[in-house]
Amino acid sequence: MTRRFEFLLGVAFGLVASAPSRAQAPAVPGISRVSCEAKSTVTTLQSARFKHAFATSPEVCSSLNAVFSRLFSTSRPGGRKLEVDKALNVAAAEQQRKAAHADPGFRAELDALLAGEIDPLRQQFLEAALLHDLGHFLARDLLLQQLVASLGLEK
Amino acid sequence: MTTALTTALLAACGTDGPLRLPPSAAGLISGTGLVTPSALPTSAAAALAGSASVQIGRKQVEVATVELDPSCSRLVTPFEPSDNVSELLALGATMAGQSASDSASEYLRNLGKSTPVMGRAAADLKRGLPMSLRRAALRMNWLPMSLEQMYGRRTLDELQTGNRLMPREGRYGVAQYRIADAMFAQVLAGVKEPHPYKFELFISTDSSQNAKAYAGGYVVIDDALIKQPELHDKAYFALAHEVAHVLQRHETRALQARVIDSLALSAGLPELIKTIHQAHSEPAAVLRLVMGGKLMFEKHAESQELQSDSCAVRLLDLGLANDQRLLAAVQGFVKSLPKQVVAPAQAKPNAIEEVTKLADLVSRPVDAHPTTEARVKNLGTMLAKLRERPVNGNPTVKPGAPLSKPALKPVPLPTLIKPKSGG
Repeated sequence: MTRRFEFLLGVAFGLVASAPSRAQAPAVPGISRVSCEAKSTVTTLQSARFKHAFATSPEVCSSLNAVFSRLFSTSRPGGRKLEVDKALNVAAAEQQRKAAHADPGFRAELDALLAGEIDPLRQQFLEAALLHDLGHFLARDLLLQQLVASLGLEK
Repeated sequence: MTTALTTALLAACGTDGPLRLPPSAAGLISGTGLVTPSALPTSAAAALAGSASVQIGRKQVEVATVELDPSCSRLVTPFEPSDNVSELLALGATMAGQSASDSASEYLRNLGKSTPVMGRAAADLKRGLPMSLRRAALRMNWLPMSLEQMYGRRTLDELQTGNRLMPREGRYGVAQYRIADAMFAQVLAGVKEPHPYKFELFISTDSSQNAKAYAGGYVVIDDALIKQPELHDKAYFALAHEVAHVLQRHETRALQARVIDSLALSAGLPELIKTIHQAHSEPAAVLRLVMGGKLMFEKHAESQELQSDSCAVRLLDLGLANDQRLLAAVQGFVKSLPKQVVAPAQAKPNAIEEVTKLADLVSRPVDAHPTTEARVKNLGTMLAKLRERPVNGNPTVKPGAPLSKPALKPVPLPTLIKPKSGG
């Protein structure tokens, strides 16, 4: 089994485990947030911390789903854009990530999330979710870009 | 095979551009010649001025993918069927003044006299609408508002399902929405005309600095434009631009225009089949046909973007009520536009370059945006028009006084850059 397949399988199981089994009150009309509950399938994940993230933190869970969706979705919702989308500003994204890592609060949260996690792809994925959760979207997309390259995904 | 394809592609490439297209398909849209569009009510004038056609074999097919009041003389496009009937009656009156012999104008003049009740007028229109007016009516709004809202909501649901919208609660969303809502309210204050929309604003979690509008009144703005105060000028312009898309029903118009054009083009089906049958002997004809349609949709999208830029200027003029802030918003947007690339003087492009151009035409998205130059020129024109605006409605200008010079001087083009050698 290839590393890529293992990763995809792991994420897929994670998302199955976090399927919306309990609806929460929507924050914005029409927006439903996914609630996370540990299910038996989650035990197939190798990482205890990864399981923990899904099981105990709705915010991280929601962010994981958001990052997962960005990573694997190929659909582009329509609408009228102000301007043509530009390529990711890598320099600005790196700067944003660097600034996040320099923040002790972020660092502590990331360390807690990654404790025991040895797979670098999973580490990147979890960090991307945390960056998303904190609104560091440029840095998140930088990590997603790296994940896309690592996994050989077509975007 | 490759040689044959290349020959076919090259045969389709003319000396004046990548393709020899019918003038209308290439965006050179001519009026019907019935009346002077500027003398007409806005949407009716636009409907007539916007007559366009596509050549299918020997048949000329009228299409609806055209736009419309480029200087945004009216911020809210008519949205009820009864409004469109009024437009048609007004059109008839104008036409009567200009072309007494025209049967359509005669028809409408009589209709206008004899039918004070809208319902009856509508019934008469249905019974026997002359072709010239039917063409105009086809270009007006007819998609019901309920359907438009459903259409927009469905697209928005895709964003929500993909977690691409920031929730209003949570550790990050509250503060961002507080800022965004305040900005949005200022922009919406510029809409003085009645309209059927209940606008809803969402912040997206995309990392870009863009904004989007969806049919039905949904506006989405990227987080960076709210989070970074130095981008707030651009954010105001972006919000106004997107509100304009909604009020002009652009997404809906595009949808209904494509529906109409599908029907209109089907009228040319026999000619289309004949053209396809000629693919072996005249491959260029098929390519011209395909590319004609593609370019037509692109031109439509571009003209809608320019119109929204114009409307944004008008909206911000009223909403912000401050020349300096208006100009800052326009400049904030212009600054973010892609730099102009000065193409090096070049001899006749070689075969590979022509094919590359053609491939680009095929693969690029239909929802095209105008060039930076076109947008800046249009914005400059709009700012100049504001000097002529009525005094009422602009608290920053004294009666009879021109706008302050520093506030509305021409918007500079972004710096021109030269492409790298070989690029």
